[in-house]
Amino acid sequence: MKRPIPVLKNGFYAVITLVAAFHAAMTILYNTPPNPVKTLTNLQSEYIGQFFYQDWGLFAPTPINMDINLLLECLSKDGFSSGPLDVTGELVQLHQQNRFTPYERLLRVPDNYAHSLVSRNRSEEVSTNLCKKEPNGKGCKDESEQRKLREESATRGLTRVANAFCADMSASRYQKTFQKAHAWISLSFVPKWSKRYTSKKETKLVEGGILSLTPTPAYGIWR
Amino acid sequence: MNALIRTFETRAQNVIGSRILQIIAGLVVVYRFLTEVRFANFLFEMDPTSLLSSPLVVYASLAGWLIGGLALLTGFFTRAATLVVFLSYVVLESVTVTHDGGDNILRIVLLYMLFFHDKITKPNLIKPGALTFLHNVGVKMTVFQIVVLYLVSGTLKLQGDVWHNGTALYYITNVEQFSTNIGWIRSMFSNPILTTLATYATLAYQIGFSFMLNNRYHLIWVVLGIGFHLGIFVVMGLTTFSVVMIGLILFTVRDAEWKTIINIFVKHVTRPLERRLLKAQKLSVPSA
Repeated sequence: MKRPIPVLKNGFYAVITLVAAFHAAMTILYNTPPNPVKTLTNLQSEYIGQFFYQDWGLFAPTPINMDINLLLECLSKDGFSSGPLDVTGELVQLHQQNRFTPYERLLRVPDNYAHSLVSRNRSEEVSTNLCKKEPNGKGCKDESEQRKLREESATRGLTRVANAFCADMSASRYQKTFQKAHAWISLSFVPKWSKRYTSKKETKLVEGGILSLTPTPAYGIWR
Repeated sequence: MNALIRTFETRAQNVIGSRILQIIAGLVVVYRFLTEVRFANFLFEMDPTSLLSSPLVVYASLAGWLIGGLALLTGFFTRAATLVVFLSYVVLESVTVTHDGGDNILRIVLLYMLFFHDKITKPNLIKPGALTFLHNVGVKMTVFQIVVLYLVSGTLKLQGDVWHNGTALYYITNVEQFSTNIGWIRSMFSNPILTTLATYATLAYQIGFSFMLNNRYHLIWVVLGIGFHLGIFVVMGLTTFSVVMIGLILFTVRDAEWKTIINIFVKHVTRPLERRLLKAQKLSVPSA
């Protein structure tokens, strides 16, 4: 005859099962689109969003359709200019030549900051849609706050990239100390499917502003 | 209920898959340490005034990847190693913008891997009881998270126009950051038939994943999944993402299925090879 499972052990199993079930339920709720349940509670955002953040929009719903390149012009106090230099192009080429290098990650730093400066994130899109429906509502205020925060964070990030890039340029090419950098973001759009054989990528330059540099050691990423 | 508990506490599930997942996780974090430590100052935003992003904590976390990763690879102190790698992931992911879906899923799954039995390197020593129960909870939660990933990713894609009209992969593969320098692969995605097939196959694979888990054709889905992620590695260059996803797909292969794979391998590879060797030996020994 099989022995019954002791009460203490049963209690332990029950607690573990309940915790796992709660976690699974929160994960499901967090990952579902806006729905009536989400209007009743925000627990899923506080629990999953804070401790188990996840985003499975891998190239969805609309995948990226443009190359994002960062251009920087390093400027010294005495008026010397490096001219606009491509920060990302060389990293892309090196990554395409060999998939087992640090360039996969290195490239993402300038790319993601530049992308963040020119593109809205998902939560901002929700506010934008709300703002369109109710032009004087909370959505518009949220949208403008979110945009401001995103742009500030992206500019801080681009300044980090400019510090490292201009330090590398100084060490490897110019032997100058750079104080400022002028940034542009180049967006090259993939031609529409119907024009894939007849058109080339159209490029648009977006002004990234003048960034104030702080002394940074040369990391040897760009030569 | 009692029967379910007994099943859960009696036999550890996906033991081989769990060990493979530990090896893959170890491999990924050791690889990331080796390729990223030199550029840590650039890749990770360090701030000496903040405790969690101080250079000391960031470098300690990188060391955690190396030590924990090596332990996971070799199978020593796997539970402690999983904890070290998980904590390192939490710290390092919070100070970088370079993370991708592979890092996201690995960080979450590492938490569930803490429940894996510490004897999975020696399955014969696994005994029924609370540790086996916890192991199985970890296994089920890992499978659940993979299902969520594929289902959400697949259904989100269904909302996108270019996924609907079958051209999504043309656009992605023409973005330099996610493309290759191999000319024929690039031109492949300008072909209407291949692009449409590949785009819809991606959708079908991701949405179908959860429905194929307990299906008798699961192994076919596993092979397709490995091919799909190898394709992502070659074409798009998402190295660690592809390795992590292949590890997770292999994790879903049940122990009984591994036995089937081994039997097929023995029947079609090992035995014919043995027979050939024996034949060759007989031919080389001169008859008396």
